[in-house]
Amino acid sequence: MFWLVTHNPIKILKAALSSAFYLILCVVLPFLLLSMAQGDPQLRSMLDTARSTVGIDVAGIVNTIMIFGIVLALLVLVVGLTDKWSATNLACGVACILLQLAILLTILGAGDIGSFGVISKTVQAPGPSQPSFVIDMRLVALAVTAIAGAKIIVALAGYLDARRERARRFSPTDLLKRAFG
Amino acid sequence: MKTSTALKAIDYILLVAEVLIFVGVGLGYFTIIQLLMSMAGPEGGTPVQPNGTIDPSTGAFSGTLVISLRNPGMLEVAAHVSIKLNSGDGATLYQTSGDTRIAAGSSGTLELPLTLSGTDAQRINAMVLGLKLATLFDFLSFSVDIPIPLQMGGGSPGQ
Repeated sequence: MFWLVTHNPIKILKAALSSAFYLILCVVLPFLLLSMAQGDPQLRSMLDTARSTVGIDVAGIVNTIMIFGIVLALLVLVVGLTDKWSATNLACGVACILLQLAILLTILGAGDIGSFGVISKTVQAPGPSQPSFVIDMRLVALAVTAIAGAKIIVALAGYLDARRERARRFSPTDLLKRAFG
Repeated sequence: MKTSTALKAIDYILLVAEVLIFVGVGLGYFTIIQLLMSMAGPEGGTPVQPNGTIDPSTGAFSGTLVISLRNPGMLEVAAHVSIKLNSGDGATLYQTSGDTRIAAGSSGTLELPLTLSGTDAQRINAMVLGLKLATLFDFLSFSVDIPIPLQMGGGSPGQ
């Protein structure tokens, strides 16, 4: 696989920065926010209430996002370090898109990817009345899935274009043209 | 235009679309939370008020249920309110619903007709208030069903 890795320092720097961006956005920032929330007594009691009465485990959601974020940052690094015409670049690029979609669906479904943007909960309140609520974001989930699908098509088209360009650049006719003007 | 440039442009458009969707969802959540807080807050008052007359001889009620909603959020909200009056054995005695659209920063009132015979009024044991709020061109909706125990006439909650 190492023959696919670029030696271009600017490309390496760009890849490292992109990876760091995702690491900060999906790992460092959620971790800091969760730590701050757990440090504050009022916010901590709100998180505990959300878990005990509604069944939304915010810490669990943040942990899931952080795990996805670490994998995403690694994949972004590989995408940045490999050439566009390589299959590794395409595979990691598609995996990045799918992971981003998984993160978005995790947020939309309050931790449940399979719910596809529908949060349906019953409030465990004391007393005879138990209100239930539904937050329906199926259209939003559908829109982000459609965007992810379009991104995969664009990635595939980019890969094919890069391969075509590489084949043209390294074709015998082209090499002869470059050698003899 | 080169293919790679066109693909990059499409990629940016998709990114902008994704960001716009999430900004919209954020605004939608903000609007719905603001509306719910205005209903629950001390200045919100009681959102459901019966307005009508009771026939003293039969005990029948005839009038309307007035539901007041205030939208302090940033997006228009389509509200669907349903009210179900149940007896102690779980039977639905009366059901009514209505829709209204409330522009950002304004208030809306919904009047639902309510007519109950004397015997039904005596049997009412609980009310289920259903509220569905949709915003962001119906991309985001929140619905809640709140069972409220009532004590009318001879019936008592939990009977």
